[in-house]
Amino acid sequence: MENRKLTWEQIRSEYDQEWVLLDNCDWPEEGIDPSAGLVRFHSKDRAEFDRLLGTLAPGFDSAIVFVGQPERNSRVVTTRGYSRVEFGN
Amino acid sequence: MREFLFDPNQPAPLVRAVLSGPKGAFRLRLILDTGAHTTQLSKAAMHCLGFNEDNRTREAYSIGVGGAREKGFEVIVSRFFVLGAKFQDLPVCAFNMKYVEDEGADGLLGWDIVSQLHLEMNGPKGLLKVF
Repeated sequence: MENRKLTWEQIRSEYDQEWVLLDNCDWPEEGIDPSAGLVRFHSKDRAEFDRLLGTLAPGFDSAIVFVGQPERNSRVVTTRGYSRVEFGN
Repeated sequence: MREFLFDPNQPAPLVRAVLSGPKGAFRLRLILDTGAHTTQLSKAAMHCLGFNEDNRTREAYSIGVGGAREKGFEVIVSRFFVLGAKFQDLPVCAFNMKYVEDEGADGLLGWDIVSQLHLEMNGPKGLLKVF
């Protein structure tokens, strides 16, 4: 874990294409991205990131963020469009 | 009226949300998806908030446009902030959402919430106005 609070520009520079967990995060409500935060942990692999999240003790002003533009496979189009939910017991 | 930004160059409009769970509050990104009946979160994000199947109010099944059916669960999120609005005790479903995570998000902001907002979207400018 970094001990210093990084700006979003620093986070983008150091953790591009990674999932990061930020603590003490500043994220203006109107903004797309946080403006600053402490990087608690990070990983390029979401499964590994989720494993680390599972071991997490509560932080403060925390945020889960993917840094940068997700790599796009031009041969894959995700169709969200319509999904419904049915409930059971 | 308030203005919120999104990136029009992303494959889907992402918005910032704050959710509270047993382990605390987290800020994360959701895809604004008017085609999703309900607001949904990845199971990984649910676990991060401190929810698991033991907290479920009921089982849930997500059914996509092609009819594929996936089992998940519903929990009650005590506080949910998004686009300047606050919701309390909101039912939110959890499913495996790798396809959503691949787009840098942790869930879908569904019609159950979007339908309660007066929105104006300017796609080219990446601007959402909420009245």
